[in-house]
Amino acid sequence: MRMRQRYLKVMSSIVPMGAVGACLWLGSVLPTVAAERPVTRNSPVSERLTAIREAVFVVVAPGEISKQDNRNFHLTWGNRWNNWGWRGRPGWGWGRPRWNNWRNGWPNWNNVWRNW
Amino acid sequence: MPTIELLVVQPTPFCNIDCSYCYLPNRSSKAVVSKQTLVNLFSQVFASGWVRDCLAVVWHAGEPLVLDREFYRDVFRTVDRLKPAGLAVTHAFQTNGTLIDEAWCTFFAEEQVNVGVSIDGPQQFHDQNRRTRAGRGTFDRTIAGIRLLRRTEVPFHVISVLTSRSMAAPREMFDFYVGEGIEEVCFNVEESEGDHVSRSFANPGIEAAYYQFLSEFWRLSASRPGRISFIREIEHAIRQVIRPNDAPFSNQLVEPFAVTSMDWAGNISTFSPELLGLKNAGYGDYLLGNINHDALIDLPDHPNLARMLKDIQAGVRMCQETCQYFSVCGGGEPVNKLAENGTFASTETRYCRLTKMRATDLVLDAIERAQQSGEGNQSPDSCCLEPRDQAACGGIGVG
Repeated sequence: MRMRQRYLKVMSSIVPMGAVGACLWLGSVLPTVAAERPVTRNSPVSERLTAIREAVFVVVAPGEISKQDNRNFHLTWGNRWNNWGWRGRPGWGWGRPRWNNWRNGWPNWNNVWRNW
Repeated sequence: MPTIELLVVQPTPFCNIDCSYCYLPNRSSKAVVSKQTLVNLFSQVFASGWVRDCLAVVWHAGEPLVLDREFYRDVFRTVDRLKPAGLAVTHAFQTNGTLIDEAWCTFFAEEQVNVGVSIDGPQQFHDQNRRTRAGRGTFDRTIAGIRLLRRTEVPFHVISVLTSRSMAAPREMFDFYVGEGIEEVCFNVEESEGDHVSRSFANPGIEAAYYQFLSEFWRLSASRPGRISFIREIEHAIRQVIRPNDAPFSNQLVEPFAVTSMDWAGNISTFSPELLGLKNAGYGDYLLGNINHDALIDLPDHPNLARMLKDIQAGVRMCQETCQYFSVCGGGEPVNKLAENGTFASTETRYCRLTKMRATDLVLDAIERAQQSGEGNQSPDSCCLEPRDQAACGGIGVG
């Protein structure tokens, strides 16, 4: 709970930016000299991940995420965080809409770090 | 019932170049998939009920552009004819770029093909590994193809394989992409796969080097918004870290048939296209059948699948029980476990330590820094963005 509170403020800033804005902003805080890990490693990675996601959950409105009938939420989350053709595209790049097939939807958070 | 999300089709195993890190065992074979094999594949895929509302088809595992455009036009029209109404099918090529000419660019635009070009950065890095059979570098021909794509306004991304040398040169890599107008980049690492044993993985400092490369490349990109619009490794990691805690998540690479692959002869495999050409003393081969002789819907019953799945699921469970990063990866890549650990029923690999763990660490560290810099003092409003990036940041609110 305490760690979630710690992340709540920064997630309140990051989440509304969408993935593109978050990428730019977070990149801008990196140190000029090639970073040496870690900044802080007080907590296990899994706990930090859990706390961040709980904070994101709070920011995007608790209870809304699994309600399939909340179209506004889905469009928003989908368009700005999730909608670059990631679903079903391990390897990727390939499914990313480039021409005119921008899609709305509620994708899985798939593992898509492949290259073929 | 399985869901096919990505179909990888090998139109030919032949490649006109001979990269030193390539995992394809038969890349000198000029065999070509037959029209009937493709009809058998697509008609069975569409009839299976295993496809939802969209299907991505990647033509790869050999250089796709060694076949002519009429081959693909004919196939695409056949797919259009066979596919159910309402199903969106996207075609993508992963190419070495050396054969791209104006006619191909016209084709890409007309058919709306998603294009990925393999280029490893500036010439001294690219030509180190990406060579012809005669040993000559291919950079000049690849960059000519990329320039043509740009001139004809065909959207594309690049995939660059990082080695120890290029990892040590993030600024050089960044300047190269910016100088060539390349906006979307994906970084692979020179990994151990099939018969190829990674030289980069032998470097004990490779993980720190990878982290520092990504960090510096990301920082440079953020300092010059609008130049590099997409870094796959960073955006994937961000999306896996910053997500609501009940958002659905799955790892396609461990789900049977989510990625379905077919070689030129009609042999079918799943989990990873690399498995099509591999053999192993323990597993034999990884084929589930042949689309010309077997029914797609019967392939889940093939004993090879049961054998692979049992070990893959055991490996996923081991990851879940032991790995701090399980929630960003979902159990890793079976083909890398096989190459590095000798079995699917295993956990950590050098590949996952680089591409999953270090990338995740970097995003977590960036979040910590954002938090520490005045507890979110540097708000989105103070973030200096060019208009196109402001548009990406702004707009609708959440909730």
